[in-house]
Amino acid sequence: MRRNWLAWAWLGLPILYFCLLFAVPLIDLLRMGFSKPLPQRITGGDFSLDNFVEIFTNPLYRDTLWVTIRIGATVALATLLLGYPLALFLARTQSRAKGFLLFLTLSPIFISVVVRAYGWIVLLSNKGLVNSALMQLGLITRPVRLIFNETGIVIATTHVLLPFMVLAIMGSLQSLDIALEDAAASLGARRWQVLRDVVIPLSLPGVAAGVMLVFILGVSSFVTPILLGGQVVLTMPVLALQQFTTAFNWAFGSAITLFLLAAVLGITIAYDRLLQGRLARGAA
Amino acid sequence: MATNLVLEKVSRGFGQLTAVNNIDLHVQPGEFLALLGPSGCGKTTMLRLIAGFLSPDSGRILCDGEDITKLPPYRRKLGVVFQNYALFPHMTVLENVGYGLKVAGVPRVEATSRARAALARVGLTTQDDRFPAQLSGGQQQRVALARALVIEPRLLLLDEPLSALDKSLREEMQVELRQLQQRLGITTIFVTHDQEEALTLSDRVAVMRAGRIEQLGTPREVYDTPVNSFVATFLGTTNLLDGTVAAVADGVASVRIANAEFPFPAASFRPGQAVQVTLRPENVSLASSGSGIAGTISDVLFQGHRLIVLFEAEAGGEWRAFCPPNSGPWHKGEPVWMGWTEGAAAIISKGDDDA
Repeated sequence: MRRNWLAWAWLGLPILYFCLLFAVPLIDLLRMGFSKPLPQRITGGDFSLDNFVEIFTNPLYRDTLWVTIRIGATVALATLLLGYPLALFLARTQSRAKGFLLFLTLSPIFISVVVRAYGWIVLLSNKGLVNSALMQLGLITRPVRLIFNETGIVIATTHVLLPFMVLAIMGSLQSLDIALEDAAASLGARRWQVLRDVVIPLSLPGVAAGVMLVFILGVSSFVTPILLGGQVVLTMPVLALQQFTTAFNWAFGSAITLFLLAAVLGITIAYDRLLQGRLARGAA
Repeated sequence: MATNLVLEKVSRGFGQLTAVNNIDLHVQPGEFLALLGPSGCGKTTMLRLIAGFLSPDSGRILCDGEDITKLPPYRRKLGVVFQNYALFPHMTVLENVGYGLKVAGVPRVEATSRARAALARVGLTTQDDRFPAQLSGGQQQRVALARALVIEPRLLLLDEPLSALDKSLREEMQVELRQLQQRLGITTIFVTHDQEEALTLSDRVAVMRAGRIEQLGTPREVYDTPVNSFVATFLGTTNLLDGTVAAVADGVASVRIANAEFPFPAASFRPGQAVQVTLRPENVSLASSGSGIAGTISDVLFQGHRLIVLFEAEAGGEWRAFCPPNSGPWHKGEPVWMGWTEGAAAIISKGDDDA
């Protein structure tokens, strides 16, 4: 009995933490989102659908949502294309440098997002390293615009989120029995056939998790879009932040946040449903 | 015609460890050969070298005279059955079995009918559309076997394929495997640490230890006339008796063990040499009077199908005898004489093992 009591006590603290720091703010967000924006009260007034009427009727918000999702999807695809070969290499290498290479892969996580964003600005600006190198090589005559647009956001966010994709894929590759690859080879499958028929299909759960994770982190990030989008490219989190910090309209900011939350949740559930059927075979 | 396989001075190490040490081996066409030994003896490494999953540090591997040492596994055309079957979990039974044909570019219709035929051959016809996780261990084993056989491999390599099955199913599969191998006449190499399985299934057994083949022979040869105490003790239970060669005459060595002398057919022994004799407990004959090694019964254990009689020699040493359950009666503490019929014990010259 005493043990049981203790177990609940242990669980109590996380529950309390979760309620205070997640549930309560979320409820508050819901209340503010569905309230009438008032100039004299930034947390909004009585219940009202005004905010959502504005979001659904003003094309700015629909366009911004589209830009946000496009950036998230592009980043997910880019991290997948870059991350899969890297994860495959890291999961299979016998090299002694494996630990170091893994550390290098994860290193973006250890540096502040702000520092990384400024680093990318230095690299990608009109007089930055990338443009200088391309001009020196004679590939371009005028600098290509790589920051303060979507390209810059995608490049920097890909860098930020690549480790998550690599870790997700590596997880499923490492749990894959090497004997399966040997079996395929003994049956006459060449290396690329083994990859196509065995390794890739069986690592799809990791790929699916990685894509989902990177997409969600991508559409909800705001530091990189603000710094590399230069407030010119608007994404949903940037819009929401503006409402909270410069327009002082928390009610509308909450509505934007809820709208993004609902959109992402919808996409996530649809994606999950779509994959469930296909992955069930591999997971069985 | 079945394939023969030759290993010429094949070695393979892992860092400091020499897993396979300068092995020469000729496997006859159609032969069922078991590689038997304790874990870490190099038997699995040897199988992986033959399959091409590992390459030897030195030596050659020849298949029907063709040097396959440097050939990648996908070009060797060998059927491999893995310890945990290594079935593709995302493919159905039929897709698993048909995979080798698919990558070989066999048209789909033909591949399907050949895969079905292979499944029929292993006695599994109603599970085509199931996934491996939905099958029992024995069924998975059959799928793995069908998958390996469908590509009409030159050799069949089996890596402890029965070890994951429970005892009764294992015995059933042993018989089936042997019958299938005989019917197909395919040269088969079988890795196992189970001595009984090796004896039951194979035409010849290679008993391995520390990367070397200690003895290669028919099950009867390695069981009845082990070359050293390692082989003698690894295959079943045995009594190792210390003795001294008393005299050698006309190809017969007279060996003194405890208080008695026993004749052995032997050529290369000299008087005074210390030898060891291996005597299987089932070959021991006990008598309550007469000649032989004198001693006392220290315990009698009833096992249902037999009695284990523990025997303590007057001259020192405790040995055991397996007797029919209705023999005796033997009683603890009784004096008894131990002997054996000629040819039932084999001599091992001392010091040629524990290397």
